[in-house]
Amino acid sequence: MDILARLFCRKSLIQLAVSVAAALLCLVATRSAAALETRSYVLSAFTNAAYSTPGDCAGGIDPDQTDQYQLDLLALGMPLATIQKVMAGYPGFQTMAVLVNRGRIDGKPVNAYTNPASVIDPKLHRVIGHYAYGFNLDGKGASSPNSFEDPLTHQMGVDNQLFRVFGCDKNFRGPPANATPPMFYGIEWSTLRPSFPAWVITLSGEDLSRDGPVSVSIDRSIDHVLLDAAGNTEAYTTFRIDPAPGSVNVFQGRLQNGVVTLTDHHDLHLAGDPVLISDLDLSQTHLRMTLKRNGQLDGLIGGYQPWWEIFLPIGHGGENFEENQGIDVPGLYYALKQLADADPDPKTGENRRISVAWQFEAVPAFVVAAQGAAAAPDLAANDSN
Amino acid sequence: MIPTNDVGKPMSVVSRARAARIAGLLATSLATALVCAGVRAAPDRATVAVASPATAPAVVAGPAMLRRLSPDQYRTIIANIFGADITIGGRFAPEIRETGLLAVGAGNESITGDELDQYHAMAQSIAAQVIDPAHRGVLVPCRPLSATTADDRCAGEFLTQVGELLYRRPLTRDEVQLQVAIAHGTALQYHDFYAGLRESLAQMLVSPEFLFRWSEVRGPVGVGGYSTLDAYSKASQLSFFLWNASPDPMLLNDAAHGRLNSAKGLAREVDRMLASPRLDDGVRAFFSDMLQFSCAADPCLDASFSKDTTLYPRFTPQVASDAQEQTLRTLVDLLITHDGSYRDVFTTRKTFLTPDLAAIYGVPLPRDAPNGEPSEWQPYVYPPGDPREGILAQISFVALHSHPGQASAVLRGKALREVILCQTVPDPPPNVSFKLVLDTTNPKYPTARSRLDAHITNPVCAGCHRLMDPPGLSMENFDSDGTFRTRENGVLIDTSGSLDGKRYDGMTGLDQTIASDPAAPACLVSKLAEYALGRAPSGDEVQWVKGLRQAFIADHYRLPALLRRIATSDMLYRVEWKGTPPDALASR
Repeated sequence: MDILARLFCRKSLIQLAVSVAAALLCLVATRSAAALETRSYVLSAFTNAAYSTPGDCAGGIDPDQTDQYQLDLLALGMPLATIQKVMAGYPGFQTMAVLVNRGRIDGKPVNAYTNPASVIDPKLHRVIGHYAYGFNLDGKGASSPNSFEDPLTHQMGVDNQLFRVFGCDKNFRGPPANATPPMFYGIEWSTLRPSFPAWVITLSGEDLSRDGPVSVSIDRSIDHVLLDAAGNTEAYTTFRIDPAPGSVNVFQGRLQNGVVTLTDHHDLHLAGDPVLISDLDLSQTHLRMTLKRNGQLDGLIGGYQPWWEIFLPIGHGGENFEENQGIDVPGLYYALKQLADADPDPKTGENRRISVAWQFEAVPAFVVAAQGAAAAPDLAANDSN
Repeated sequence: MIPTNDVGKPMSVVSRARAARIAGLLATSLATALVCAGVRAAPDRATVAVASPATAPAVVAGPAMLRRLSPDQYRTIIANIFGADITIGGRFAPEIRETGLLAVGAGNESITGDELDQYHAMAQSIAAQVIDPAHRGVLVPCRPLSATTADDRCAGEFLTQVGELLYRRPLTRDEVQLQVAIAHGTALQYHDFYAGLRESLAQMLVSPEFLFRWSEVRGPVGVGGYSTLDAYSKASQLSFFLWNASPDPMLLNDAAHGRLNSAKGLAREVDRMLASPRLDDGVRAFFSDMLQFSCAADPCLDASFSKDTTLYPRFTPQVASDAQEQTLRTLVDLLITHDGSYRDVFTTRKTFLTPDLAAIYGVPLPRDAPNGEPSEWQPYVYPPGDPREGILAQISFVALHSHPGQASAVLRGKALREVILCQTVPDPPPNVSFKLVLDTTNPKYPTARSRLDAHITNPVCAGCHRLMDPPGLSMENFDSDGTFRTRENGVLIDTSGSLDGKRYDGMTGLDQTIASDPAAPACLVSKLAEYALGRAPSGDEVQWVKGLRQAFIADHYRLPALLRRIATSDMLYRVEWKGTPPDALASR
């Protein structure tokens, strides 16, 4: 046996100690055709999928929130001089009291965040561009109304109404028009990730170096990620899957040319963090993820998500969210509600879900289900140069 | 002022100049000077004088040592006496490493003016906490008649008890009187009994009697011109050796009753100490010293945990901290808990990991504790033949002996020779260029082996590199941060090597070669003897160490047996004597 083969089997033996799946990996290495190869990952980045292009917003980018506040007050019929006087005290306590309570019920001021419908719709700008990342969720293809073209796959009929909602706020915009990925979910998620349970993905197939059917498990762990010295998610850490049934999601899919897609599209549920995404509930779940040469993966997950689930953490953020992220909370409420495109309420007929696409990145990890660990991708991927 | 004994002889066991330097600094503090006076007035104690080398008789034992407490010892003593919740502010001075050990360097350390300021700050902080309302009820054994004035009886009771633990011997009558006088005066000045206790305690904490480990002798001079430590110095020697701490009350009690002066009594006490959980602390302290873990916090010339986080982002401060702990836990578990062979430390597959370490080693480690806890240690067993077996493959060795930006076969080979095998590798000549070795971007030399092969075409370099490189290159599968790799610059790494003519393959081959090399256990014995003595063996001690090596083999390389042999040996308590016999001094 040459050195390379010995090293490979030695690494496999490490995994063998804790995992039946890893033992199978070693068998793969020795060319046993019946073996199952498993790789696991932990999410290291998560954000709303945004493909922003110049001029893709009707009316331009949304105004800064201080300007939006003035527009909100103007909509209430407040005289311009009064508005200027109020805003002169921004962000003092008295001014914020006026702004926070800019809702009106029976003519009386009420909290705009707990009663977003009491605010006059500020009509946030919406994306009118041609492109958006996402999936053809309704199956209608190019004939689907209000659909996009995916800039990567060039699939037509992409349903991603969340991009229309968020895409004109500067903190939710992404490349190529924006120099950086969307700030809000990018930064918030990045900051909070060590403090909430991790989301993990386990990929299994006969031979993950070749095209073929695969199984994709998307689960919530009860463990948190660790960070390295550069603030990146540490690879090769071990995660235990939350045994709660609502946090385990197994899909069938296909690996082709290093890209995994799903072949069944049932519902997905992942418990999240109340500050960011309380839960990730998707119907018509779609996934596209690429196995990268460095052992990591990046991908896109989408489906129809309850719009209230997206609004809730932002609404809780109230004026702090508005000031930091520059998006008007009642305006977001109206936009989500109006652009929701699935799951009509049988009583009111209003749609309760909105088409979404989320971008993510993941690094190799060990994932433990009950007893034993699924194998992380080949450690040799970590070799220098 | 030079501390002297009661007949005016210099009392320091080290050089006169050094004693003067220490005393001169300490004399800047009135109270400290008073402490020195108190020591000088002790009627029943004598210390070893120092003669010039020209007049020295044939040596059968080495000189007694005056060793400054290490930071760890200082912290441990404070925690043992006053409780672990007493925080220690201030900054400790860097320690000196000599012949590979800080324990030896401690014998040549003094205290500079700045360092004395730090000791003062620490003493004031500690004393304030001990006397504060939250602690005084527990730590002060009596209550004063009035809290607003002096109470010599209560102050004397407290200071006598604490003083014995701090000085590692009972205070003399004069010393007690002095401390009570300090407490008395301060209490009257501030109308606060506890302020007096605080001031007196603070003064004891900056006393040389506390900060230095003194070696006191008594009894007749032996035939060969040596004497033995008195019972309290013997207790200290024993306690710092086995526990890296000052004697506990039971050991001091045995010293007081002379039980340490008989072989039977000494053996009984040694066995008690070997059975104590505090033995783990002592063993950890020794291996931390031997394996140069202090270089992790304060980078040394050839050893450092400094890493370029751009290249090695996975090497976090937590990893650096856990790596040392991993090795110490591995050693204690094998050598003490399981009484295993020292040779097995190079091949053991059993270790302990945290999630951070497991990540960098690339092995699964499910946590078994509630989430959010920073670091849970779990036992871990590598499969047979894994290149991570043994302590040399652990991060604490391969990362400590690497450059910040790249692995180093040279530093690792040098450390293996010097730290593990006690061999000497000369420093490189001053005009050597390391450019070729350090340039990892030259496509002509993609691997460390190819770069070193090119480098040693220079005959000036070749001699030493033939010692260092072959074993060092066998560790090339480990990058600077300790992560495993199979290639460098895309080229498969060749980890074959040889050690003193014995060829082997890879890291596991090197582990097995070291494990079977008689130099490794012999080195441990030498280091442990130096650690215990605080200096290199001399005179008859050299032969004693040779005997210990043979005994270590007979004991199947069991560390507790070796510790017992050293601790129960007369040689550990002998010091050369070149002046007036101490019994003669005492009789005056």
